[in-house]
Amino acid sequence: MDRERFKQGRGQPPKRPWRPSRFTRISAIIVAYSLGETFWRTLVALPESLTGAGLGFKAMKCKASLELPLFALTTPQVYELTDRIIRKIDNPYLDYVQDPEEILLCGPLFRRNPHLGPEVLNRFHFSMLLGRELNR
Amino acid sequence: MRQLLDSNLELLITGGCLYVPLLLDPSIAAEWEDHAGGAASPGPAGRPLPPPLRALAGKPFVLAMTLASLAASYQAIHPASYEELRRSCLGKFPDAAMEEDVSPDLKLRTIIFEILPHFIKMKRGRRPGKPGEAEILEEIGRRLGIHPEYYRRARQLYGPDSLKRRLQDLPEAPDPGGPPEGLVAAPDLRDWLHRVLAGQIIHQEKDRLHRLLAEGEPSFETHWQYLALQLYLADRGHAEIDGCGFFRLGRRGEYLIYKRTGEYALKDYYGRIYRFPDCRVAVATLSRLKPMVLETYKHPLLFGQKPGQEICIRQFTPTADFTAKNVIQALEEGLSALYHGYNSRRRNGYHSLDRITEHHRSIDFADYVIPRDDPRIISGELEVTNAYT
Repeated sequence: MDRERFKQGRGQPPKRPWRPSRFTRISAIIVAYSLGETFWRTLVALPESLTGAGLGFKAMKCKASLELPLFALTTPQVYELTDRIIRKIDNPYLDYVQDPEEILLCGPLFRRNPHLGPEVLNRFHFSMLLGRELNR
Repeated sequence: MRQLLDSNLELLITGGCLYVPLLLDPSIAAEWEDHAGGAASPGPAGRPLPPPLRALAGKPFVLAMTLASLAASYQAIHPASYEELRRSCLGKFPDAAMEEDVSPDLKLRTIIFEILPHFIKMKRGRRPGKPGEAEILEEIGRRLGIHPEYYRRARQLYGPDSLKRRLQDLPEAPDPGGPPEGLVAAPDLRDWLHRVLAGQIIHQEKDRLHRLLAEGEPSFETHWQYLALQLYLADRGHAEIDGCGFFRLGRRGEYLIYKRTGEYALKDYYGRIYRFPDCRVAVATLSRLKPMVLETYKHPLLFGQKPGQEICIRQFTPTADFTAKNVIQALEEGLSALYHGYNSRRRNGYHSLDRITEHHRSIDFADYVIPRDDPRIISGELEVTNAYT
């Protein structure tokens, strides 16, 4: 029985560990930090290219802890804001944000260096990573 | 349902159907865009079903239930809340209130008609089979020795004249008005539902009284017996037959049901006999049906000696679901643990009967030791319940 099962499994793509979706992550941050239109306006007003002047990036900053639900069911207001944020910042680094600041810095960081790996993005706060990129 | 009605949500009511706010994720949102403004679809009986999704003022709503089914099934979904509403509704009328004070609640009915008959021995010479309600009440009345005065009071309280008077006193069912339409706050829906249920309750009460009066005098006999037992319990507070009994806890409608162990004996590793006194194994209807002892008692499967200790039972998961079967099972598990749960070879439980070491122990059973040739043991009056170990 097991042998047949193993044979059937050959050639199948390997199973990937389950991760909460991007929508779940962003909506969880919105709910946890009670984000609203003010945050959206800040995100829209953020300049395309950050120079680092006056941003005061810390040399060391820890990733915020975020309890992610398995899946998200949101009110229309939260859904609409989540959808807008995901459409605006359409890059893979969004899958690693843990707090509102990282959402804001996600776009600039990706534009400066789009080749950062998941381990780095999971481990270091985006403000640290962006500060390092700006200092290069 | 109660959470929904007690919330501050805005609900949509249209065409007698209740719609609740739709929560979204990307797949639901896509489905919403496909179905928004969808028309009614034909149902199984050919009748058109209401559209499952609706939008009002840009807010999405999803069909939850019809208001008719909400009113019809409220009693089944929230029996406690319905009972409270019934009491408050009928409590406005003096005669009805008088009966309500002694009227049996569902738990008491279960105790009297299902749990007690399992443990008590019915009188000899009766026909085999499950006893009926009248037979159980007669047997309980006989065994408890209920004074005739209680029956006289029951006849007064539940006679044809009092029923007729009560029927006259009941007012017409209030008109709840049509169901609300459009966006409705949940508390407004709750108020409307309560008005509908109040009407239902008064209708049911009238039907019940009409039915009783139509059945005539003989049908009152069971009710009188029941009411007499109720009056007796209201006075005494407890009842016990054949070692099985119950009493009402402080909260209305909650009970503690118990069964006495009687005297029994356990043996230890060396074959010494320990006589254990009688105690009551009980379960409370307030919470999970976990068997406990009511008296100050010591036993290898009890942690200490305080009254109200839960009995250590393996492979038994107490449930909070109050049914006769679950209560009987919990009581029998508790009794069985005390009788047969201690294994003299394994010395299981919190304590062992015999001294393993000379160190001080908090629970000592030396005072329970009786000689092996004790006349009660030899005659079989006192059974060694763990003799097989």
